[in-house]
Amino acid sequence: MSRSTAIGALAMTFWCAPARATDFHVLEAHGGYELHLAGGAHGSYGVGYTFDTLVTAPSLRGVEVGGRIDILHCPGCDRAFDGAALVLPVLVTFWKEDLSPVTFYFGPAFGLGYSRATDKVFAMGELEAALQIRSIYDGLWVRPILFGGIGGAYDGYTSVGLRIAVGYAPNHGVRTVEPPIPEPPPGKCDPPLRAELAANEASWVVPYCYRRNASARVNGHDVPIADRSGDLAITVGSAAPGTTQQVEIFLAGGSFPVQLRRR
Amino acid sequence: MVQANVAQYLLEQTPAIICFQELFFEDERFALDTELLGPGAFREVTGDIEIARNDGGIYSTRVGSTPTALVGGAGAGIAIYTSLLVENARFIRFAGLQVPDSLSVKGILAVDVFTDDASFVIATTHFNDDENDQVDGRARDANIRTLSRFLADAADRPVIVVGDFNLDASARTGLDARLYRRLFETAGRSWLEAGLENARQNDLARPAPTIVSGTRSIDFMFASGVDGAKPSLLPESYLARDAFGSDHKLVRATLEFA
Repeated sequence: MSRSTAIGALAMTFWCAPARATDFHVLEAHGGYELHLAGGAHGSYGVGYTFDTLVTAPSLRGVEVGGRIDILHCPGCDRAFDGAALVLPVLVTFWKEDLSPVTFYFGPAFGLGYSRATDKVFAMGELEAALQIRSIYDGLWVRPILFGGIGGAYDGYTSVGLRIAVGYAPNHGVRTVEPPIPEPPPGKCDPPLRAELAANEASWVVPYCYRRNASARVNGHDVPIADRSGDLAITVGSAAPGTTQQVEIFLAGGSFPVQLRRR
Repeated sequence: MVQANVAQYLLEQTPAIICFQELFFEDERFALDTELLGPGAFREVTGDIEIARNDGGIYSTRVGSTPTALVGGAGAGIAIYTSLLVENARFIRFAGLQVPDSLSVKGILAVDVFTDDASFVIATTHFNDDENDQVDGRARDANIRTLSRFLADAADRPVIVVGDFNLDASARTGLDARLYRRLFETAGRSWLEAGLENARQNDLARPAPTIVSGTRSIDFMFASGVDGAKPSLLPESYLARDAFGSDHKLVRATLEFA
């Protein structure tokens, strides 16, 4: 097996490996332009791969690692297509959720390349600040990256630049059309999480919820209940308009909290 | 605080088996050992399994898992206490998330339980956090697949699976509703879930909440029988009322296989 075939097989193995829940494999195309602080400028563009994963720790929340190939474009050189570099960024974020569409990342990137203008193999480094914009259910990944660079093709320049990476994640999420929430089955006890009751009403009724061993508390105190033709009538007393009572209904082995707002 | 509070309850009403989740750290596990097994329990570690034994408490055996995350040191946090004869303790960690929730080690712990006239498998689990799993529920879906594989060797025996599944049985539609339906296909068996069955027996529109705040019901007791031993929930045996200082309520039920 040739080296390129082996690398291709390795890449395919990695690509086909099932991603875990919060991982995305992103194929990217990118282009950037950077200004040398000593004067001059050059561009670079190419393709890359980014592995985007959520880190489910309290502080560190995400990592993006990957690699990109830069084709160097040097307008001031004898040959505009001046060389190439392989660059490996490692970006982290401390602000990310599972579904975050916009995430700020930062971190370093390291690279090796070759310049025809200087006829040198060079090393380079970048410090990147990136805004990751993604549409998880469409697979579109866009990342504007502001970066500062050192080393590189042109005799140890330092630079600042902007790069845009546009990517697609084949293992993006699947948008599901949810059916409308069905109505609760008729005739079943279904204590709501929130309810309203007129301020002067002394009793609040929960349909179909009276049970032999039921009981209730209002703001932590036991209160009388009654069977009203199968409905549960709870003596909540009158209360000032705008106030909220914490009602806890105990029945069928469970407890059901209700916030009862008085109007 | 939770350990002491729940121990007092268990002292008064001792189920045959009790399963815990979120005992992430060794000191929490050992504190509960002291309460439930009595002080000075003998602990033995074999591979991923830690078994503690003592004769001075309300239970004689605790089976737990030992793997911990590289950072933070949190384990799977799941444990089984009983005085019944247990064998073949095993643990498998979930691979649903690249980095598990808060650097813990989520997974499934199971033992074979033997009584005078029956044997069955009991497993306890803690699924990946739903807050980290909103893209198609991939992590919890992977948890369900792992659970299915894990239970494949119990085809000829009754099985009980309990724990914090981090999906809401009270959801009427959406991701959690789909995942909850999938749970009932686990390992190709038919299952009875105690909270859902309790709701059916009592004409409730949804299972009782199992967390302290809100209406979510995420802590389940699944039972699956074999021919001649189908599970049922003893009427009025289901309880999900008291939290003992935790953010989850203690879920208790009596299941029968007949």
